[in-house]
Amino acid sequence: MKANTKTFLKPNKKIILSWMIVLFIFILSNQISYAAIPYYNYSYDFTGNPVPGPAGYIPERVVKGQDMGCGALKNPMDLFVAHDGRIFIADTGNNRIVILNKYFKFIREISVFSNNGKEDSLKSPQGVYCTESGDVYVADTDNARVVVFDEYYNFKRIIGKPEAEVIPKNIVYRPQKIAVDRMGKIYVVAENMLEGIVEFSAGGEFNRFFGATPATNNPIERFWRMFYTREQKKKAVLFLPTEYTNLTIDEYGFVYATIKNKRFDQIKRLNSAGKNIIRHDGFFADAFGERVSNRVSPQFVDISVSSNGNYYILDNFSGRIYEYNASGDMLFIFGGIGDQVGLFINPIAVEQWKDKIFVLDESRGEITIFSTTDFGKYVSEANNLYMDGKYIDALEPWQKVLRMNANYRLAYIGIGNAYYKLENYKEAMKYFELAGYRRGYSKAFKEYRTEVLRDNFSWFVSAIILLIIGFKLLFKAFKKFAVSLNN
Amino acid sequence: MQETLQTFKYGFHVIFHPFDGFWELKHHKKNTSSAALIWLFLVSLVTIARIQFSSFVFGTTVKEETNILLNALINVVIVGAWTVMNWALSTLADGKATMKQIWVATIYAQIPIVLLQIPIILLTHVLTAEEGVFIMLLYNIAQLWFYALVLIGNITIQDYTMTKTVIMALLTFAGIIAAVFLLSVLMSVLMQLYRFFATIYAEIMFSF
Repeated sequence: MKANTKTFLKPNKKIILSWMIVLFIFILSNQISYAAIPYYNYSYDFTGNPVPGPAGYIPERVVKGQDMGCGALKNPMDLFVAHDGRIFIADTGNNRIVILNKYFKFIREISVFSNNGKEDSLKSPQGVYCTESGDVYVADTDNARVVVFDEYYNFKRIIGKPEAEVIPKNIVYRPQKIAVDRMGKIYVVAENMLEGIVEFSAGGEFNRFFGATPATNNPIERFWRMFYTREQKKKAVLFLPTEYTNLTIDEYGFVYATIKNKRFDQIKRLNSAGKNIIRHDGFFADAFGERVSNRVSPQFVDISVSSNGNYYILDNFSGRIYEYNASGDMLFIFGGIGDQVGLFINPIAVEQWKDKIFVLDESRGEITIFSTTDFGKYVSEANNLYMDGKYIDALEPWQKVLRMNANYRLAYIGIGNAYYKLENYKEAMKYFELAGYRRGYSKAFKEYRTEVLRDNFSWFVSAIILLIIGFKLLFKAFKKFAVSLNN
Repeated sequence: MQETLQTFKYGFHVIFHPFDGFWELKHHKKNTSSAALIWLFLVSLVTIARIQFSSFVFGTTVKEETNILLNALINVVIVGAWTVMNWALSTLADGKATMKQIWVATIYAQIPIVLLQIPIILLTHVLTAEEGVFIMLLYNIAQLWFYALVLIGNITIQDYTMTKTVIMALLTFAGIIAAVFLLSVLMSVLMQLYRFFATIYAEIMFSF
């Protein structure tokens, strides 16, 4: 015993050497460096409180302009991933569009092009979009135009300032973000265009303003305006609707758009009539982002929709990316503001491609790539089945999710719905209660009640008869009692 | 004890025949305050039962975050505040009731809440969310009954007219709000005073 402690306190050289060798091997073998995830991983429970959970997305690596082989990016403002995985970056500060293959290797850039024989160039392009047929649309912001290139990146045509009676002649047109649907209609988010998203026909003619946000009309403000003089009215700020910050188009041709500086209703899914048809879980009004009320409203600057209807929105203020499913349930929150890998200084664009999330940081000129964890894969598997209405198939993946994160509310709802479909209403009620999902609980309870009533019909009937007789007797006794009291 | 029980049972008469009942309660019944205490205890009990035994569909609170004691006490505090304020104001406006009588009358007015809360709790276990209107109906009946009894009780024991009672009730509410405001001001002043002396104490302790 004594000898043992001595050797422990004074280890001989051999032991030290062997430990050093082991350590050395560890350091060498650890090619992939794993760092702790620099942001909190949490979800919200039904009381609206954040609860910790495992990460759904972890930062994989950061790609700089130098790694891509195209020199440093300077204030890049937009990112777009085409269907084949090509990556388009609007390198605004360098007046060019950078095109990379799916391995982030430089293919070519568009900066100077031949415009019908004349040499022309881009000036601070802030948005880029690539259609399925391969046409590249560039929002050439400082030149007040949209430039279209064909699939070989050759100049095709120019779509200039929209001309219509509703647009003032003297307004400065600065197209910022762009999206094109399958019919070839072009949607442009432009600075100063408060009427909504500018919609062009496939031929490049101005069609209409799309998805106009109604101006907020404050009754108190309106009351005070009654007392304004004409001069004051002129000086007073107009009731202007909020400006769109970004947009994208999903598989079905619906336009998703984001709005800055608002607490509620910041994300829109617009149908062809310009009506907002986004679904929200209705948990906390129509607010997206954090559920804990913040003094600063989120600054959503970009949105990306995946083929299964999940969408990712990027909050420039908190640096977080929120993933929602098609019915508006929050799936994951990740990212943040800071210096470590996985955090950003000024995140400006988000894109997804095959379980990878790309986030572009404007200030750093870098792209951070996030990949899903096992937990994230289970959630997305379960969610895909769930969204397709295959509740029973989703049961097992949801159970897997729950084993890894007992705080994950959506899993309880998913399992509850599966049991409901399996006609195991008692179990469904249990899970809906754990999820805090009253509507589902009530639905399952209704079926359960019918079941109980049907199974014990004879008992209930006899109980009711007995009760009626009992009440009559009780009433008589009560009457007698009342009479005796009065006497 | 016997008399207390008698007065306690008299509550069933009061809620159906309020004018007669409150008059009797004021002038002829004995041990009213102890009987009222039993009723007050029952109101608190029913409040706890509502939180604890309502079905999940109709539960409005999160059980983990609910302080049962606080919920049970809040009714006592409200009745107390109402009593004190109503008495304070009615003595100025020649009311005929003592503080004890107001206290008793207010508690007896809450009896319908006790009686109707029990079927409400039972119904929550039978009805679904869509059928919740029946529960709302029962709840609203209990509330309206309670308000009516408070008014009638006040008319009877204070010997007021209806209009005067309503005005006095509104004034009482205003008085309660003012009292709460003054209390919070007092609390903050006391806290500052405490902090002032605590700082002096700390200064002295640290300098020696």
